[in-house]
Amino acid sequence: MAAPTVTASLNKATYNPGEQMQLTVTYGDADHDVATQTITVSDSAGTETVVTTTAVVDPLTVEVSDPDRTWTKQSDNGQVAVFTSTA
Amino acid sequence: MGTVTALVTDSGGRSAVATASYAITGSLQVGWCPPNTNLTDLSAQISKYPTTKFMRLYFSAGQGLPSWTGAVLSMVPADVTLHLSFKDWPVDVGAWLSGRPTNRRTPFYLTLDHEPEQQDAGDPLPAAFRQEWKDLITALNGHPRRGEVRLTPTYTEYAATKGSNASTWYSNYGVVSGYPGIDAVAFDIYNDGYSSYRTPEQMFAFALAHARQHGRSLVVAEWGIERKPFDPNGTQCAQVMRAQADYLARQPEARGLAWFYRGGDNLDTRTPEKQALTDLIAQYGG
Repeated sequence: MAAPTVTASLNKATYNPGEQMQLTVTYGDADHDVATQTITVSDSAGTETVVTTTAVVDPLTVEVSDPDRTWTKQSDNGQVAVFTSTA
Repeated sequence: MGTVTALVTDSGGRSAVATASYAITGSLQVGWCPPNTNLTDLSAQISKYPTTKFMRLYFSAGQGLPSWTGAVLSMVPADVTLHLSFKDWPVDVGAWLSGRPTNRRTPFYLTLDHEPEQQDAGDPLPAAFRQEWKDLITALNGHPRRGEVRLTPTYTEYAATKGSNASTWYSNYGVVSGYPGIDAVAFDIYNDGYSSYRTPEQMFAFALAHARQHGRSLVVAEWGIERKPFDPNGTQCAQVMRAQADYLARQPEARGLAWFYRGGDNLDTRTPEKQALTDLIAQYGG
């Protein structure tokens, strides 16, 4: 099992008070994967029902901390998470 | 200077951390430190400057950490940013933080052994000072309310720049600013020992450089400027106060500036300077 990797970057280095701040967290893991299974069931009349399920291998969690302010997660696709806060 | 930390953890408990730092301009709060930390002085100070949002309170050796529900801390409004200094170690700082009333969440600066260079009034030797800071950081590590605390070693600017032991100041004391877990640094900065009023750049050069060296926010825990003989009515001094605060407010690292309202820096009879402090409190965070 491999250790995860992560980078964090802000959209600016200096903010004015009240300005929106955006943090992009890019993360991954060599073991991390999302597997999709598609199951098709058909009856004698040829009617088909398709079910799709996903299974996450070695799921990752992302947390953000900052003693000065609260950050809110805006999106997360499993590889890139975007957080915002107010300066 | 703020820092945000991203933590990624996998199902096996393995983790990775990344940080990103930022600065916010115009974050300075101007306030004061009362002459003495007691109910009488604090009450009088609040009456004189009722809109203050930045207060520094110090507790001397033997006083421990103050009760959150005691008379003094209860008088501090909940929306005030407090800078609290204490001298005694060890103390159960975790239990003390847990006892903070839940309706008080405004982050506060916490200092152990302020002005350690003085080596009096219970100050630990340099090695003990450094160890006590390590112990304090460890004691609060993982505390559920750690996010409310800004651990802030507080130094004496004069000792670091002009004191007889200035050459060893960093290795003895300043190195603490780089310890992981430190959130900000603070300096007590006066104009004493100078024949004229220092410019803002001169006044804050060392403190700002130290804060930037370690990527920390800066608090001026004690600020004072006594009148010079060539300025008997204090007009120039009031202008210097305004210029220094305005300059500091433009520095992204600067967070707090507390006038130490004591001795020659008691402004009760220094009308121009008292008005300057009133105006600065209103302008910066009041």
